[in-house]
Amino acid sequence: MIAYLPTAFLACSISGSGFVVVFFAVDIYEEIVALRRSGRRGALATITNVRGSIPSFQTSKMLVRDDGSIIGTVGGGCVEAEVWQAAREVMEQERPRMLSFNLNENPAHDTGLVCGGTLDIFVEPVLPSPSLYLFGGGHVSQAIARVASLSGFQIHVIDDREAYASRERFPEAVTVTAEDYATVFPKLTLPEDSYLVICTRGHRDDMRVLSLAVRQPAKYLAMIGSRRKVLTTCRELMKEGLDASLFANLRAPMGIEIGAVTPEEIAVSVVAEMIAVRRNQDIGGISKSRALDLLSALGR
Amino acid sequence: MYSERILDHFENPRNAGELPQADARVLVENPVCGDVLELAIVVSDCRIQQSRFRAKGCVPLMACSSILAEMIEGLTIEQTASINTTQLLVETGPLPQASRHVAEMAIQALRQLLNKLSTSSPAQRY
Repeated sequence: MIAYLPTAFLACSISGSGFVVVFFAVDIYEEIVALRRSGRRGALATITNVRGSIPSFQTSKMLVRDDGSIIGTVGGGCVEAEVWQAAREVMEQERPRMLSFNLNENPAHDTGLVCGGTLDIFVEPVLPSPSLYLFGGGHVSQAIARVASLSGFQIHVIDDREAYASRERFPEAVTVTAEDYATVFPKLTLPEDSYLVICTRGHRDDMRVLSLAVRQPAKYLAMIGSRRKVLTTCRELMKEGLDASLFANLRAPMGIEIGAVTPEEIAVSVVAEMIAVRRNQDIGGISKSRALDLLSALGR
Repeated sequence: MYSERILDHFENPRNAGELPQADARVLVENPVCGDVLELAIVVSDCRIQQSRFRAKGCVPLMACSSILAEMIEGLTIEQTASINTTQLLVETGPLPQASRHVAEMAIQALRQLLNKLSTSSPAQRY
């Protein structure tokens, strides 16, 4: 039986009674929450199986943050260094991994792996909830916010009209901002894995937001509109001096091809595309055109 | 536990030592286990003429460093840049599960070394 008391780090193991008490100076669970809330990545390593003697115990944990710093331990030494290396790959690839170690090496070589036991360590990614920034607070954005929130995205809404950027319209949003788009952008600190959807009141505002958004680090950038509107918008921005390469990742028309018509159906189509990007799925066959493909096909 | 090649390079390290006239030198450290590796090279005509390492750590780190330093001597910068962890592990032979991070560390040192070379002496790069 194991009890966790989140007060002081790694204290004792009362093996005689079969009752193990584990103390933590820093609560590793609170650190996971703090890491995710700040939009950062990490990987959590847990000893899941132990046979024989090891310099730790089953369920011992180590959290590796995206800057390489750690809290907790899975025993130290070479095993911990190997887990640290694996953790960095796990958080990058967003896929868990199981590692097994034998600590019965020859003491003559003095690598420290001489306790005699074996252990298995499960390393899982700790990822922040992806953030969706919706530019425009109209009915399509409302539907996207609802579907995206259900799918695990943190919603941020920006509109230059107070009546549209309101809590009443977006109860699921983390932030709702009523401010001019041009003044909002310099204040945004967008994480590299953020999702941006441009869906304002009209094509002029869409174009202005797009001109600012293409320079932002984003995992997903999409704009509402027909192929004709997308071409017109991109061409106009290119006339203003924007390089065509800036539109390489712009998904416009946005969403996957499911024949969506209503705002709710469009929301499903767009969020499906966002999920595919999040899960690294190839949706080339069902995704609508990318702006750059459209430009290339029509000779810009 | 270790291959004969690993033990040979541990007991008889090649290319170990300092290289005062190095064109590029890096020091990498694993913050978890404390292993330290310094890698230095002398380059001319876009080719690594000399490579030396100094390391503090476990048997596999010493051996990996020795094997890598020996591997890159005489190679062009372009050839050196193409070396990856998998290739190094082919040269070292199998490593215990708990020691594979040293190969990653050695390759990380090599990457940093080439980056440093490209910024300090761009003409030497290719």
